[in-house]
Amino acid sequence: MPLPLVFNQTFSIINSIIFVASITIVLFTLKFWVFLNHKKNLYNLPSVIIFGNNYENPMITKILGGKASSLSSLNNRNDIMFKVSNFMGKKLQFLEMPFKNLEENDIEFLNKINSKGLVFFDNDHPNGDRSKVLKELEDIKRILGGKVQNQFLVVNKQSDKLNLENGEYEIFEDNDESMNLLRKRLHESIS
Amino acid sequence: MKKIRKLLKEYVLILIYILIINVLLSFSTISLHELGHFLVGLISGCKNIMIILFDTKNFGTYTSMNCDPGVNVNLIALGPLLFLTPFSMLFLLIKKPEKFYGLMILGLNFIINISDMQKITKSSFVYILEIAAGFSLIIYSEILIINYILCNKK
Repeated sequence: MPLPLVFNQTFSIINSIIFVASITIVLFTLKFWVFLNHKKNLYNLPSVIIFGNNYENPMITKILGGKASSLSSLNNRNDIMFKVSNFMGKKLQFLEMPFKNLEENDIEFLNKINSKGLVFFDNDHPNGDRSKVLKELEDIKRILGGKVQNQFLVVNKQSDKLNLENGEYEIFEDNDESMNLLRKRLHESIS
Repeated sequence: MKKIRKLLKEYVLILIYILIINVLLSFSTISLHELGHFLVGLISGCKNIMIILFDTKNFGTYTSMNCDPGVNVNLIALGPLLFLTPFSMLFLLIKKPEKFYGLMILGLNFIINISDMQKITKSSFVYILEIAAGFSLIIYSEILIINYILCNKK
């Protein structure tokens, strides 16, 4: 005598669709709202753009302390970090990205940002190769269309600092004391 | 006003797009789940195997079959899990966003599978574990899909 077997499903097709659709509507509404707010802040808040190279130790952390978040929730890129901070009483957004291999859409993105200050962190030229660093800085200025008035350069050593000093950029060393000075100068020049 | 209308339009269009993807995914998962029972039943030598997607009596979805008394019922009940888990894993080899669909299929399959699990074990721990894993996977993949679509919209 054959054994009749019936494998019922937890949900019928209609219930499953209602179940999935409800989750989708709730999550999408939340996400869309967060996305819009994030986007509004991203382009409106006065920002400091940081070109850094060391992602294990981002410059944002050096300047502000704490942790920076990835901007991937907005543009799917993991190498742009951001942090909105009440910086000495002023709400500022700090964005950090690699300078190398900037693509067309990165430049478009940078031009939409309300950038008030620029920090270029140079740790690629340990001997303070003046011509290379200055060329990169020129490239950045060109990319940003001369919009950014306050430019700060952070170098590794005192010797690099002396080598690069020409009055055009404010140069800081990568140490605690200098970082304090940089914070002060950022605040003064942006407020 | 114009801006709000534009935003609303954007919201509705993207939502409909994501809903269509998700509805298709859940429909496919359910069909493949039943196919899992069907195939394992067939291999086990069962007869008169039928997949019912819509039953007008209660809108239920099920697979029915007639098997010999000695057949391994547990194996037939686990069929969809054995069949759909490697299938959904294949999606993980593809690039985004298809990768996320695999996680969604896996999560849905866990949830759908609970009634089959009742044939195998009476342990409520297993049910809770399956529900938790299923929900987590569905919500996680859903967030990834939404994020991907929002980030890549023109």
